[in-house]
Amino acid sequence: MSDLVAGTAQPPETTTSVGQSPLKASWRRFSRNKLAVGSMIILALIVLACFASPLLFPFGPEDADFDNIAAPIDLFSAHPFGTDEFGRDLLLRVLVGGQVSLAVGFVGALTAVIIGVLYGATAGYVGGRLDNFLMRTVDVLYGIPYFFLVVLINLLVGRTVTGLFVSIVVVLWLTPAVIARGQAVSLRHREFVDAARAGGMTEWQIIRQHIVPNSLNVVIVYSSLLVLEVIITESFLSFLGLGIQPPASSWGSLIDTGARAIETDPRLLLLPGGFLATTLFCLNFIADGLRDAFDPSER
Amino acid sequence: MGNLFARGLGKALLSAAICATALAATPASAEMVINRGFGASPDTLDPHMNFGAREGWIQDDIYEGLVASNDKAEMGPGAAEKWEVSDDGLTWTFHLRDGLKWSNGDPLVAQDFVNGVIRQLDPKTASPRAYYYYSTVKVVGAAEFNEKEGGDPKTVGISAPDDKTVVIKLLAPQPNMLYLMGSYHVPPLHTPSFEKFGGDFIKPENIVNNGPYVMKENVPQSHVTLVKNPNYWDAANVKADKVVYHVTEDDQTELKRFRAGELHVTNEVPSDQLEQLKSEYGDQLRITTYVEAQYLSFNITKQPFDDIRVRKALAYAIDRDVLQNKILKAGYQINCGYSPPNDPRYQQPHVEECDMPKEERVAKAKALLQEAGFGPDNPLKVTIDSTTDNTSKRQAEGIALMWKQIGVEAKVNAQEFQAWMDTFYAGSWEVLNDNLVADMPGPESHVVYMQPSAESGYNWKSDEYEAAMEKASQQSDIAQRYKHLAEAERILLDYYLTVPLNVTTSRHLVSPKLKGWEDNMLDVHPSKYMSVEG
Amino acid sequence: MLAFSIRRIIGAVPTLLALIAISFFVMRLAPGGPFAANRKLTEAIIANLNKAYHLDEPVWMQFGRYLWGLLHFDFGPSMKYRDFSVTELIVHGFPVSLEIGVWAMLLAGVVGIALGIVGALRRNGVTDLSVGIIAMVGVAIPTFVIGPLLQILFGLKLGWLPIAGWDGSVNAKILPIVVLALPNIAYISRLMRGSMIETLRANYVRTARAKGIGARRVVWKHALTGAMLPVIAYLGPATAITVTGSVIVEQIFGIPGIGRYFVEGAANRDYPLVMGVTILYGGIVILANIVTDVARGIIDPKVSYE
Repeated sequence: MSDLVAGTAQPPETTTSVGQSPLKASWRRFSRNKLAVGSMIILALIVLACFASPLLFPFGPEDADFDNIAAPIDLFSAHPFGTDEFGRDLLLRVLVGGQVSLAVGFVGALTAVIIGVLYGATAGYVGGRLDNFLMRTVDVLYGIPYFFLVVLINLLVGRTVTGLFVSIVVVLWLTPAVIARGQAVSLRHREFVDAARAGGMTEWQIIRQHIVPNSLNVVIVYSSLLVLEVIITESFLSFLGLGIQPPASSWGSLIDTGARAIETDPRLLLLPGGFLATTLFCLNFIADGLRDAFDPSER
Repeated sequence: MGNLFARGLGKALLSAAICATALAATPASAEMVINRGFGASPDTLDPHMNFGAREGWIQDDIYEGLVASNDKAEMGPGAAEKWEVSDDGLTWTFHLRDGLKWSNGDPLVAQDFVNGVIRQLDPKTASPRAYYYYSTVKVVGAAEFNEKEGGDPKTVGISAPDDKTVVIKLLAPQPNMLYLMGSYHVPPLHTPSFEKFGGDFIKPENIVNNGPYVMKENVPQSHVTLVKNPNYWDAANVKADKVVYHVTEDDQTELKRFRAGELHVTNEVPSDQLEQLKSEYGDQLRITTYVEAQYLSFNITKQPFDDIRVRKALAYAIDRDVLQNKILKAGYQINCGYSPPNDPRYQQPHVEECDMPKEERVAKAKALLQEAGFGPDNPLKVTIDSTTDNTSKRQAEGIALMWKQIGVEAKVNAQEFQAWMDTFYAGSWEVLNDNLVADMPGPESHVVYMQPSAESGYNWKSDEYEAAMEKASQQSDIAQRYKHLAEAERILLDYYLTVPLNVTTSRHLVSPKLKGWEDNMLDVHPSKYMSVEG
Repeated sequence: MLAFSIRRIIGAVPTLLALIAISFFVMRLAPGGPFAANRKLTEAIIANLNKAYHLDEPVWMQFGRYLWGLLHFDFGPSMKYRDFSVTELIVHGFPVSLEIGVWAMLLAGVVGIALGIVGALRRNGVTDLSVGIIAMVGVAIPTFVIGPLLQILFGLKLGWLPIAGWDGSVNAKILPIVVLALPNIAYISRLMRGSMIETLRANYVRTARAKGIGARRVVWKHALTGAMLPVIAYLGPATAITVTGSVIVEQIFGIPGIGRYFVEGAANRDYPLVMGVTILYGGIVILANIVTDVARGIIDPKVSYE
């Protein structure tokens, strides 16, 4: 990250040394951003609630109480947010569903970004035949309809959490790759890259230390959106019946069920939708805060 | 041949001119249009290819069979005004009306009906529903003709001794013959246009029809438009000028379009909103028992489902009352036998758990499971394969949750219809969320379907079942026939190859402006009888 | 630049061929066949069907037959919609998807870029925050929730617009275009904001400012063109995806576009339909990427056409 500072504001000679202090400085700047820190805390609470609190319930997310179907909100009963159309505790379902959404969202986005940025930065920086070949491959993959790819992978991997994860990553690394390449192409002729090359750095070092960090600004903006996109893709797949299979659930499949009942029982949409929207808003503010923090001219 | 075409063309031009004057005479504002919701885009409107009951609605409007259904789904005279059956029940003779014409003015003759059947059976047509004339209606020589290319159509037991007579010869008597001969099952073929255009004869620009309506437009994923056929023999009684079937893939969207007045009748009603819609729409909401039975099927070639104790335990664990009245709430009727109980003359056998008190049922289920070697340390794991249809999916999920309560780890695998079928025929399933729609009222369609020798894919063998069915097929007396069918159904239920669940409903919202819509068990609604007022 | 464009187009031919081959053979690997019907078909009927669709021939022969057909713009018969050939379905559906998609992208581009600029210029202010929230709402609420909500609001409660359907009227197109544009507005505004902020403090903009060029001109001429680069990189593929149809929007609004053919075709193993749409889609994506590269070259003189 420090290279970003060096690349744009400082003379190129100092870029080869990676200091610790800019990272710390960035963190300090981040921690001064109240919105971002607040979002971080809320997100941590959501993660904690999803992964830890289900242990506190006396029943499981798939235990149906058929005498208590579609019970309304009653904060002081066994089912504080009521039950769903099968008599399962709605809150517990949403929390357990969150485990799937969050896990797939974060791990999926991270994997996709890492693959995509390395791939795109390499292509854009090296250029020439390699670029041509790599981006041609992306073209071909892009050319296969999203749904088609997902269906295919679903058939091969099965409709499980792993299957969801794999099919989403396979599709979503492409866009970070295209963006990173675009950045790299416009960066490769900048003075500091020429200087680094003149200074005897290998191509790989330049990609790692200049191209990737300098692409990061745009990539961070994009990744903050990518986590959301992965989570939404997951619900999109649920909408088409390809996502996680019942009786297991995720926020996506819960929203899908809720969207059908939008007029009759908005509770079913609002609870998982509220969790999802809150998570997405938090992610957004965190991403904003991160970017501002890593951006030197903010000082 | 060329001569014939020339004549045909002349007549087409003439009838086009008549059409044009007829249209010009009616001011556009007075045009009566019926807007019907259709559900997903039609698979095919080729009369000799189509399986679908919904596509059958359109087919009933544009083709008229020898016999035809009225608005109450009663079969009566269609292109044939009378018919008789031989004493042995094997030969049916239909007599056509005088002066029948195709929509282009060509005379409609008996041979056109023969040609329709022959086209469906011709291996070159590759019709997926060719089986109809040998497994449902057992027509002499039909199976052999379909099996190999180049057979002689004269070997098939359907013929036209003259322009006004159609004779059909059967291998076994069929008391429900009229239901099986309805428009959408036995449409005629306009041979000149088929010879000219091949498979494209059903394109709106080429099509020649003999029903109350003619197809004018077929826009994929959008709509099918039919206009009144002036050459139809009963055109004077056809009220609406135009019928538009709108593709409405999503039932929620369809509901919204009905609300906004864009549709006179819906194809479907979201089954999870019935209570609310009932209070909102009162008697505009029509829920009618349908000839479809839903049930679970077990894959007996897979362990442990080859063990009847496991099948029984799973059957006992299902609370049909909770499933129908608390989870599905779609107005479905609990069914304790395999076939839909809609003919009072049939004594339907029942599964025993249907009348058991809940505690006894669940206790027995647990005991059976334990006996079969499953318990908390070694839970039974089951996957229910279902289609992605919302109601089916909820049914499967409800059952999975009930099984969970007796310690079974159950999950649902919901797939698109086609993939679900593939899973079934590939044999990789364990428990299937299964269903069957009958061709007619009564138990026969269902009980015949399960006949092991019909190879419907369940890998079940039962000599007793075959024997009972053999006896039934020889009876033309309905009471005797039903007695043997009930014997067969009893054998099926005792084996627990299937778990009966319910009989479904057809659900429509019908605008008060639409007149002539009659609810009926077969969900057949010819547009001929409908009109729009106000 | 012309030479570059032509070279890129010629270079795209192998890509397209690779795409055709991959989709053809992958589709054949998928389990199941397209003929399963409501009942189990007899061997004789299956044999008849296989023969009619040439599925009884060796795979390489089928591939050759397919390529030969493609040269004549013949994508083969649809197995699901048996009344139509794939070409007919595409001819019916594509203009509809194209129309909705182009309008949605225009809307998204104009609104998204405008919001992004406003956000960047009024950084950290109330305006910026509200732009950010609008963008978030666009991304955070899935299309299949927004769609029905808007249908209820504008179709049922207010009665301004039709709920669904495709009658060629302008009114019927408004809701689908807006719903399709919303997520893109969100993406574009955020991308634009991010890269605008960065560009505003890039050396050449600072230089321009130092030279005393008015702030307004700096924004419009220098910063804007620079900041557009990542947006254009995004716009290319996004436009291709949008014009080739959004499955969900087409389903919710009952629009007869090709997006729905993806779903129907793949779910029903309609090989020719899925491949036809795939190849069309692939062609458009490749074209969009060429256009993107050329456009980036025009805006950023540092990108060379090599």
